[in-house]
Amino acid sequence: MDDRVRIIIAKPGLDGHDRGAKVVARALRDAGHEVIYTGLRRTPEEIVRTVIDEDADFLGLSSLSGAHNFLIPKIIELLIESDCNDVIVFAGGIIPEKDRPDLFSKGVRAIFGPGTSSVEMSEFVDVASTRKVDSLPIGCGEETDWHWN
Amino acid sequence: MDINKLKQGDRRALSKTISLIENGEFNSREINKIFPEIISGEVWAITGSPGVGKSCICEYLIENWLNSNFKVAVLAVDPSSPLSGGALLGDRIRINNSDNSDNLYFRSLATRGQSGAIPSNIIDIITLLSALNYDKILIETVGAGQAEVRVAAVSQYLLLVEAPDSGDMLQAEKAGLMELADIILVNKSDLERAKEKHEQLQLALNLSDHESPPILMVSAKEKSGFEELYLEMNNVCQSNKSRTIKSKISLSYAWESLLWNHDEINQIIEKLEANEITLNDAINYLKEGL
Repeated sequence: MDDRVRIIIAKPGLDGHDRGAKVVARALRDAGHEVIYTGLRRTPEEIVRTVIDEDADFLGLSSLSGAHNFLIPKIIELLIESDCNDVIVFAGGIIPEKDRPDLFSKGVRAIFGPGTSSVEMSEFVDVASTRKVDSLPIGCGEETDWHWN
Repeated sequence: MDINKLKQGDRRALSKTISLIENGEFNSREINKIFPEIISGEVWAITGSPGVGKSCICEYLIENWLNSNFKVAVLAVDPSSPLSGGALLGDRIRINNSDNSDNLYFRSLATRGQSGAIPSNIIDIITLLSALNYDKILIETVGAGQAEVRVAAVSQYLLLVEAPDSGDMLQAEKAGLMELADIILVNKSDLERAKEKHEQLQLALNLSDHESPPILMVSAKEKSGFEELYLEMNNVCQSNKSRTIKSKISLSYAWESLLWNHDEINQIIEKLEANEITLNDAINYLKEGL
């Protein structure tokens, strides 16, 4: 069995900066994963369709525009509606500490801010994948308080 | 895997099944069991060097097909890194309509080297898409290496894209792509040197013994030349022309795919590594079993 995972890196909303998302995509590729980058300014519906078509195990959402409290829960809601409960969602970019608990409670499993090392991200992917293999709850629609940081 | 959902055309079931095919856990034989009658979709491959404009042309082709109410599937193939085995699959960015129509299924595939199953299992993916009544199946790939030429050869029809100043006529000839193409496109016809490229290509083809494919000029930027392209694509589909080279490549491709999906392939490779058997023994084992 192949242990390669498929990861979507997406930029929801009107935020037009994607240097960070590209660096993350590259780092995860170098860690041996198949990474699909969606490009800028995607709607939640488009992102969910991409997750479905590409059979992604992970969805990484990058947000720098401050719309994370709206966009990220919306995407998770659509994923659950589309029967994608098992997709593991993580986020990155500028997400203030005070907003994080709420996002974690809505199914985000890790939030990476500026200064995160690529090694840490790849560790998260490995740990989360192991949870999935062991049938422990980890997907965005599964019941658990577990989160990375 | 949920066979009922797959039969009903559920996208997630389709995606999951393609992943199983990629991992070598599902193949045409099983697809044929679920779908006894499969009418093959029209399979086009589009290939060419990086930067010639394949994705822009794909976007127009997809749009044209969707406007005619066809069900369209796109398989965008990108290379896996030989170092990490990972891959960055970025074709969605350049194809704007990739994620907003129910009649379009878009999937990125990594080549995964020889040890994995892609691209050798792309034939099974095409079978599955045909079974689900996709009318047009488009494979996009960089026509650079052996694997990519083969991916192109499993399609029924091949579009080779060139551009002025791409400077790699020789590359295309080396890869044998020119002999396989059903239509050659010179993109960026708005640029001055496009005409020159067209002439060079014509000249190269005149030197060959084979019947030469039409060379068309298009400009994705100005959206010109596409009506002629659609017309020519129709002609190609109706001509039913068969070609020996393509059949040869398709056969060797299918053969290789059999090889990598052989039940005992791993044991045989281990024995070879350990010098327990010779290459000849290995081939005999493959034919007759260990």
